[in-house]
Amino acid sequence: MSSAMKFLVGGVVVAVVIGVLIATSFSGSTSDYLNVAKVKALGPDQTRNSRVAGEIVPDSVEWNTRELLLTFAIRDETGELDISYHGPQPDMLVDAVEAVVIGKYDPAGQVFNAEELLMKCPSKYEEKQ
Amino acid sequence: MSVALFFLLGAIAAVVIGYPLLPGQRAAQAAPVLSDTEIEQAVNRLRRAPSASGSHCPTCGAVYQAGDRFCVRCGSTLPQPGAEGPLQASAPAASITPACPSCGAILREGDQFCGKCGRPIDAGEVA
Amino acid sequence: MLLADIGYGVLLLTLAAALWAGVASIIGVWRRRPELVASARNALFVTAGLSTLSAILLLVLLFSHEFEVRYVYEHVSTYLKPAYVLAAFWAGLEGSQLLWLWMLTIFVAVLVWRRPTWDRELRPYAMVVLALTEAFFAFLLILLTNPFELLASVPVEGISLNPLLQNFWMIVHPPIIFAAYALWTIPAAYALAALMTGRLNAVWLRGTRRWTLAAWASLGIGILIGAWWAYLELGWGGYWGWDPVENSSLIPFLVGTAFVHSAILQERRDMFRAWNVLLAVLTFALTVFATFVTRSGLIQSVHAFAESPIGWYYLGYIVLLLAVTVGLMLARRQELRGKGELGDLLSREFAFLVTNLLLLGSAAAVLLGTLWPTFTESVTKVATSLAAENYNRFMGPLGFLLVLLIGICPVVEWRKISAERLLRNISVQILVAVVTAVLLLVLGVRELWAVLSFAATAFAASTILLQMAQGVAAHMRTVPAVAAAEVATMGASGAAADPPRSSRHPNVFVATARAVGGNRRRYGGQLIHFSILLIVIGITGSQAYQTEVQVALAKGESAQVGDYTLTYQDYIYRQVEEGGNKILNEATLDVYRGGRKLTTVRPEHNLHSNVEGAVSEVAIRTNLKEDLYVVLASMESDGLAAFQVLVNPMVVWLWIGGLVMIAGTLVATWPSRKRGEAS
Repeated sequence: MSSAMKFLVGGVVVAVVIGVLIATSFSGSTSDYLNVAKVKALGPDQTRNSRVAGEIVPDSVEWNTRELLLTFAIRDETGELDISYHGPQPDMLVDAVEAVVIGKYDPAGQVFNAEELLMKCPSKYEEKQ
Repeated sequence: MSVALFFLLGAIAAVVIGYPLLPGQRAAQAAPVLSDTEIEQAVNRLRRAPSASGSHCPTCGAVYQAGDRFCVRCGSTLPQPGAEGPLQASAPAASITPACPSCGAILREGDQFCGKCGRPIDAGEVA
Repeated sequence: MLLADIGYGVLLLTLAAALWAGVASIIGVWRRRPELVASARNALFVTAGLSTLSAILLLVLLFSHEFEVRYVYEHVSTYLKPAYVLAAFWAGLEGSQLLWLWMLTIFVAVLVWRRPTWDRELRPYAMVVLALTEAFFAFLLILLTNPFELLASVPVEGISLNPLLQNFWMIVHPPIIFAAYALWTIPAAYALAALMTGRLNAVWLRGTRRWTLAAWASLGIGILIGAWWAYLELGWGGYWGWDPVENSSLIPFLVGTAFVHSAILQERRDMFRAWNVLLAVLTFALTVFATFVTRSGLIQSVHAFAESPIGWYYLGYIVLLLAVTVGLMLARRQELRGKGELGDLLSREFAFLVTNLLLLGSAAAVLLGTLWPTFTESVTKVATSLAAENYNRFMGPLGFLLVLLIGICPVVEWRKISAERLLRNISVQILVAVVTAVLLLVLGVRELWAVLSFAATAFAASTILLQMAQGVAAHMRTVPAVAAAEVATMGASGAAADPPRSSRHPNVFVATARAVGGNRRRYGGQLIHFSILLIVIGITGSQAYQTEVQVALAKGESAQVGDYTLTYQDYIYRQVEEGGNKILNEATLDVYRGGRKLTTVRPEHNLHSNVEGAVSEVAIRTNLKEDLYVVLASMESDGLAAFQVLVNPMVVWLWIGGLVMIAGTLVATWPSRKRGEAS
């Protein structure tokens, strides 16, 4: 094989390896965008995280300082969902602001256990919690 | 009032932009006598030819007279007549074999110093 | 409103001047009428002056609180501190677009001011591209995002700047990012000029090299400042979230890095001509793509920008630009064939190819990940989003290989190197890497990927240090010119004086200065590579070993986090600050380690009158080894407070790496006065 050919083949091999690496990274740990109704329809054996966005229901925010437990409800056009989150109360957490929660739904307790909580703020250039 | 200022600014801009188009200015923008390519070729020819006033020390570039054995500016030993001159130093980078950046002498693989001029060679300098 | 009307009028004039510049350049070069090209050049000075005037007008309106202007009303208030009034200029879409246009016109004016010889043929074509880009931006400002738009009635007070944006970073981060975007226009314009004229040799690369490096470094520093901002201000202990807005600056950075490297390949070996024109245009197109991503509403982001049709105009511009580029590349495929021959697999050429594949592969993957929700939604009706873990799974190995290449490339020779010689060249570095790995394992580091990452970094760092040492050592052997002349004259006159000491043994500082000065480009590049290694160290350390504790404390109680003991000493609850718009909740904690008091930290959790919800100010104690990061999550009236405390190892190395990157870029781009220096 001429050395130019070796060069090209080598390049293609490297490109393919990189492609395979990337392709295999795109599975697992991903989260699906769902609405409230679809989340409530999930069974107990969820393999993937779900991601739901909704407006925070007024007066639903409760914060237990000792346990660092945050509970609130979000609402979208398909219904209302109770959220439970362990962690510091995020900035900008206030009524009628949109929140995105990522985690798994517990059908038995009818509560969504959020691992990650992102506040989506209405004004420009807002950053994530 | 704002309309007046708008036209004033527009007029100033038009003057600046139109200035080179005035007949007097137009003549001053005469096309260059030599094209870019011609200039490049002339420069390359000058680089390759030894200068009229003498040869250049391969180490420091100072001009030396034929017959000198050491450069009077840096003290290095000078190439003797018949040895390879500074030609290869200015050759285009597409040269096949590694050349000493100082004197252009052909280097062997693994050389730490140039055999002709004694210049230390970094691995990264070999082009 | 007089000033606002003038501002808008100035934008109209800017559009007209930019259009003239574009048209006159192309006609001037086609019809051989240099006076038209000169007129176009003047028109580009005019656009710079006019957009400066526009910017000044907006600043005046902001500082004089002219709330009749909608943009002023939305972003400032009478009680906003002056430094933040400045930041408000680019806090919104309209202002940031004006900032971008202004920066582009200034850089273009600087570019066309000088008339170097190499540029004679390419210049008019580059001017067309630059002028039409300016015209496009001006057009968008006039039609879609007018910063001078007026309200129907005059409000008495403005909404003011969001408190999350009232900090030092908002003053510096957006200007640096937009400067970077504007700078990347220049190599793209010259790539297109090279295609249009068929002059596809390395002249356009060499000529634009300093602009390219400035663009690259600005974007890199801008990204790091963004990460620093996220870390300091947002209170989640991280500095990178793989959010679409963050990603859309990273993607052009990776592609731009690939371009910088393949440019070297064309300059040295006349290869990769097609790559270079394509990558230059692609990098610029991707900076524009960032705005499309963030404004079109196509991608969900927590950086919730208001949707605007401007995103789709930008997409159209990108499509047009890429179509023109590809079309020109097809037309010029003969001239795109370089003279360099592809060499052996064990060659620096192949190492460069692998480097570019890694960089472009990671850019493509980040782009795909950013668009993944849109893609999966159109295919499976369910939008799926990637988590940080997905990104780490490919960026980790790709980054690892890139770090290894930083260590290998400098010792691989052009054209061909034998396997034995290559092994000999990297034997010391391999030893260093192995020793590092063993040391880490002995010290208790168990994560394999962290050990590999640190070992690879040690490998690459030792290559850089060895190269540096070799260069300095060579210059310590060389006799400097001046002192040797003295030797020669003294010898000639028969004096038996010893030559001055400096002529025999230049000290290491002089030798270093000579080495670097003699090849700024190479040593600057190595310094930049070294800065990347520091950043990798920071990333590895902070990702591998973050410790987090969440605890609620009453006054007087203590908590243990890692090696630290934090004692909650005091608090301030709901105290209204002077100026009246901030209600302060602050906790005071003393930090101890091993019984010795280290410092006192004061995290805050405040309320602002113009923003709903609380804003926390994190307290950080930084040293080279780790950051102690304390967040006050909430406080009750009796002082009972919830804290989140993190120990983040090695984060400061990211910022140190940024400083070294600036230094390296300065070295690499510093103008040289010596003739014959590698440039």
